[in-house]
Amino acid sequence: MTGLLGSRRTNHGSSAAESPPAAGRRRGLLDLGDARAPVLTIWVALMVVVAVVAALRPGLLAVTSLQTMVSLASVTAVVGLGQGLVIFVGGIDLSVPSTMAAAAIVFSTVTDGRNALLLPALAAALLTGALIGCLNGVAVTRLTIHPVVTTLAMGAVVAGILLGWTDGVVSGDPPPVLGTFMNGVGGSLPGVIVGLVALTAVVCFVYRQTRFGRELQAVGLNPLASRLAGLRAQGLTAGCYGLSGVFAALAGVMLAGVSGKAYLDMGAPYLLTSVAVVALGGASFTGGRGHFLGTLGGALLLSLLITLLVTFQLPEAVRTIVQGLVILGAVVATKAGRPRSLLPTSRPIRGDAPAPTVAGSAS
Amino acid sequence: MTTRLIHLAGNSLTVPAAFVLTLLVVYVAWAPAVVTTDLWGFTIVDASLALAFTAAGLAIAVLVGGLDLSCAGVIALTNATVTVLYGPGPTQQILSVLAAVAIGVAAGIVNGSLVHYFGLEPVVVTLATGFVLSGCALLVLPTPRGVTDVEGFSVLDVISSSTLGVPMGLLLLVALVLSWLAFRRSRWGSRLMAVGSDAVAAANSGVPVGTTRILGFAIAGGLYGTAGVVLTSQISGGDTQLGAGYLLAAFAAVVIGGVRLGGGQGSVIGAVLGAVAVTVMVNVVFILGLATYWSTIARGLILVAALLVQALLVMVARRAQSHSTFVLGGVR
Repeated sequence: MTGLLGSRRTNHGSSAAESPPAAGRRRGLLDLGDARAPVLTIWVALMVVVAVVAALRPGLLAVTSLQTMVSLASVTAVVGLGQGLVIFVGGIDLSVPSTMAAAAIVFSTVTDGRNALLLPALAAALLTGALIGCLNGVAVTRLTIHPVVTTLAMGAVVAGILLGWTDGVVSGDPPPVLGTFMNGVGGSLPGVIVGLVALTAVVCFVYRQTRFGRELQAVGLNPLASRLAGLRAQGLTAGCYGLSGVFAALAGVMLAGVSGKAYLDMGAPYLLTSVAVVALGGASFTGGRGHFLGTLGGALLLSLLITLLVTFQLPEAVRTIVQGLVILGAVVATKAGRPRSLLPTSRPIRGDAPAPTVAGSAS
Repeated sequence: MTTRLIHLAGNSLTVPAAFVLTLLVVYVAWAPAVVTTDLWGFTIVDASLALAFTAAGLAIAVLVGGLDLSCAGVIALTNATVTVLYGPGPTQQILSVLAAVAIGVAAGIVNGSLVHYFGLEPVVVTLATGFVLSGCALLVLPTPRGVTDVEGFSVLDVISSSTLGVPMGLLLLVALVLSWLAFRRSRWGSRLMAVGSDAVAAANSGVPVGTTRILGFAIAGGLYGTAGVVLTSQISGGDTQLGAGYLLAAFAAVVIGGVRLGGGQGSVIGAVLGAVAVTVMVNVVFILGLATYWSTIARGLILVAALLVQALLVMVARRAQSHSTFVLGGVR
């Protein structure tokens, strides 16, 4: 890990020359670190599910239904990106649903169906999200309030303010151009799919090749060591909460574009979904492991699974149950085969020599 | 003066008691008309009964070292189950109540086992099981409905009745507090606190960490189940949407109650006092003439306020002692 912490340069080729990388690690743009195996697993699982769907419901794999599925998955993936950042630094963001609704309502109120106001409204919505996220971050890092309590309370306060402000009825609509961007026109490729690919590329680049990405990994792996090494661990952690707010706001705006309106509990399903896709992506909930590629695969898989369940005419309750079980299955699967620890919150120290076999560890 | 403050800060019941007293004073000062015999029996005891049981359960889960987000799901499912199973005849009634408690205990055992045997984060496990339980509740009871009317003796009516001016709810609360005191002094009570404060040290001292942890979650689940029964009794019906409101309120009650979120420090009595404080606060918001959405905002804010008061007390206590520990803020 010395190479990771010691180098402040973006040119990682020379940093690799200064300090040799840990044995067996690739150091390219797609180096996923500890998340490599789960990320590969989720994409293989996605392929398997696609094959199953092709056998059971070939109609679902038509171009138009695939486009709908991917644009819905993109909303989940964007929320999951923010949630994943917070989980990477060992927290959790339960205020995501309220943030999404707040951003979507701010957005719809500002634009009120006018295309010309798209950018100012988007800025206002993202600022709303950033404000909520930064308040979370400051409360967690400076006031040392537990993330669950902070974000639970913040979610309630924001939901209450929204209810008081709108009186339950949202006036104003998202502009039609956003609907075109999210849903496409007459079977054309929706812009959001291109956007999702671009976002993925940017996230992969930032994660490996920028100072922020590398410092983030250091803080996620070991906050204490990174702080002793001179990183502003608290600031970075607070920044992750802020980014989670921004991405939740972006997802809220995207969802308003998909459904053509904003309403108070539009974000409600996304608390479970955002945690589920991060769990599916193989992230560790004690922090320090996870990658957006996993979250993206999880979002596509979950979107496909839910669409499949809808075709079986099952009640919505079953979908909730399946998502809950998916989270449990994913976290159990990523933990199985690792040594069991007494403390659920204990953080394994990485970068050491392979741990000696401990009595009681799983084989 | 400082020593006295430290002593007060060390007593985890100071903050919840102060919260209850302050809110009661505000409540009574604003509307002296509320001071009737109904104030204690109805406004305070009955209204906070379900929340008190939920908060007591959450407190035990927190004490053993885990945050439990499944309480809303357990309450929704048990509320639905009792509503569906309830019927004439004491046997059926008692069985439906026992079924609710058993569902809660079973959910707790699943939570505890997943947390212990797989070394998973309690937050993510209970978030997932909570959603699974809410989904099951919707399957059991798709639309809200009332409990079947029962002629004569009815267990649910007994819970919300009062004998000789003493509300049954008060007796239940006293029973809850007494059982906690007995449990806390028992062997398993000490083990619970030991595992919550330091699981590794507890394991080295021969405490069965896994069993204790699962027991803690199971008791918590049983108490949520009881809260579901109480809720059913008070509204004489089932509504799967109602459980969701208990998550934030229970966390507020536990935090006001002075239970340390890391585990191992605090008491169920504090959580019960916290539940009363939250209930009185909702009444204060109501009596101030504020719209209902303010009660949600206020619940969030009181949660933060309680945490700040606790942090302040800890700071006072720590300033008096020497700065010996290096504390990494925020990031666990």
